[in-house]
Amino acid sequence: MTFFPFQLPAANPQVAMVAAVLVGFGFGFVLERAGFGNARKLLGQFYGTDMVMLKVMFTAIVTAILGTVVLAGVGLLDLRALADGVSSETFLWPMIAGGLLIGVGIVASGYCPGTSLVGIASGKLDALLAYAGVVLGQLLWAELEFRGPIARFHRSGAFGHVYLYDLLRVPAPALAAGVVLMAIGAFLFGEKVERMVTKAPAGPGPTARNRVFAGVVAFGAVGLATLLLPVATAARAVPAGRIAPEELARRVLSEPWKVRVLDVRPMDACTKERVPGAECTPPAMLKDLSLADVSPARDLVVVGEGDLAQAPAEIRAYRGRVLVLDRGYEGWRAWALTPPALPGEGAAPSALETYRLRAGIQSALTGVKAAPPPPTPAAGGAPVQRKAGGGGCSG
Amino acid sequence: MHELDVARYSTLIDPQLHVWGWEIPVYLFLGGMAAGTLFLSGLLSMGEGPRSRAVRALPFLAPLLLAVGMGALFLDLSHKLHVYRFYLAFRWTSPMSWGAWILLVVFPIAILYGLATLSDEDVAAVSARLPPLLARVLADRRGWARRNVRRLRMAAMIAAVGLGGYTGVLLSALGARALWGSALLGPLFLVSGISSGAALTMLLPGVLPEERALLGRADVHAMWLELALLLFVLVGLATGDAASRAAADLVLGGPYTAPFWALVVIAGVVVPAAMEILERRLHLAVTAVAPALVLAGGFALRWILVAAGQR
Repeated sequence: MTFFPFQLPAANPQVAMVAAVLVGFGFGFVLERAGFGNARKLLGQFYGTDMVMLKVMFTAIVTAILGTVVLAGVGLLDLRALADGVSSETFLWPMIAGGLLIGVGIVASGYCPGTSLVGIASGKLDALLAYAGVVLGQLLWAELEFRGPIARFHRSGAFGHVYLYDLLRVPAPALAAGVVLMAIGAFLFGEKVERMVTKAPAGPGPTARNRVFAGVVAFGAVGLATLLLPVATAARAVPAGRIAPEELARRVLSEPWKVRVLDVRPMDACTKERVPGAECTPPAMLKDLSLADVSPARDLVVVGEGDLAQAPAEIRAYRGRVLVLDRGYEGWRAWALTPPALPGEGAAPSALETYRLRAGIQSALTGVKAAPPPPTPAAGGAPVQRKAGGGGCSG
Repeated sequence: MHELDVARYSTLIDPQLHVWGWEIPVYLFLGGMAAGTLFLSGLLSMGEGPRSRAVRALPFLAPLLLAVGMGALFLDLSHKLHVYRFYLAFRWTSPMSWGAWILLVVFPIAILYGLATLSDEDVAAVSARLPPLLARVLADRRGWARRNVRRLRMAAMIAAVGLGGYTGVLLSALGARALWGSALLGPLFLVSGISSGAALTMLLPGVLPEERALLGRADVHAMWLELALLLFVLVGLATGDAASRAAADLVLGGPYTAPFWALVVIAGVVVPAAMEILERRLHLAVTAVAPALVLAGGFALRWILVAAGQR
């Protein structure tokens, strides 16, 4: 799909980078207008005198979470692909240490990396120094990152991609609703702290605050409502299509990036032999694939031992196209791993093409060299005279 | 000496397409900025009221920038000792020949015009450090320059337009490079040079607030014009023949898309223009960020056009 004058960002990383620059400038502008180019504003957070930073950041987090969850719920966004793409993997101990260190840096300088850039744009010298510290720290870390004990520490507590909704085993919209409630609690608590410390009413009035609360609660409710949509549920009752071995072979060979093959036979049978590129996923493993959340871009082909009447429920939760291989792996074996019969004289071009494909696949998968075509018989004439002693150039 | 002035490309004839390195964009940037400072010094001196020392000395900045730029250009020459040959002939059909002579003319005009804009105190301070003979020559020339200040100002502004425009015409004359095949490159480089000149002047210490406001307005106008010209160039390429469309694709989805739109259009034009407008309307504190972005964007424009045009 093209969008004048560009391709869509998903198809072109260059455009995504331009979008990132635009978002970056917009983010900086909003931060500056909100007063975050001033170190006192950020420090007020830690002294309890000005909780606006907490409110702005929590509002941003809630907006992003709800927007993502709603878009994923209506099928416009691949939540897990996005999460895997943009979030770093969890390294527990270095992350705890890094979090504490950056907290110390924020309190000492009055800036976080983002607001220090905003401060620089506002002409603040202390912001420039704070950002110089950020750059210096990154350079230092880049030098130390792969050395001895620091490298070991850097890799410690590796858990891969960990998400709260996986840990708590709740749907993402339900977790988002929980974060909304937490944000409202933090707002109220922050205002209470502010009033206690400054001994004066602070922050927006009740009307403005209630509007914000009503907005995020309504948005959270929309997120929860998406759980009822068919695209987001595992109970989607779309019948799986069928695919013949020949068609599967063509797709696996010519456009493997458009197809994902799941072999649901027992692990032993699958690891012994399988369709090229197939993943061995016995039924017990299917739930770990979270197929309801993955991108529906590729067609999913299910390979059973024999002919499957329908795909397992976990696979049917997939939002893209699901195809069941005709006659399962038996069908594949009969078509792809058995030498094809030679087409007879006057065979149709399509039959010859199919023969070539089958013969090629069979020889490639079984390691058997394809038989050469029979030699063309001589069309008459005198037989070639050979010397009794064999060939050579000696005359 | 014959230039490459035919539209062809063959790997047998031109095995190496990318022949211009860092020297050319540096020269184009500094040349354009020199043109901008010279043009703006003429513009600023037309207004009423006393001018700051930085603005009075502005005409001298142009030859200084140009000299550094020409140094980069000289480094790019394969046969450096042959440089004098540019000045043994004048080919009116060759932009490079025009450019060589324009570069030569800018120096005396800018220096004489600079002498006319200096105040008596400036001249006294400079003369005190010079030998008596040179001080007398300076006083004589300044006297002549002050008597002809209006003509010199006009000559300086015309030379500035010629210098700023020629850098773009130089590129567009090379028909074999489809990306440069637009007659709008001359005006584009001229307005970009004026914008860069304004940004550099705003960064000079001692510029008065009213001068900065005037420079800011000139800068914003130049930037909007630059944006419009950039879009016209791209539309012209995108609706042209196959080679032009392929050239346009370099910045419309191709490998130069992110640098061009992020550095030139967004960071170099749109954001600083918005910042200068907001600073003026909301009476915000003036910072060096917008001028610095303009300078970076002006340099990126030339760097990207020169690099992408040679693909």
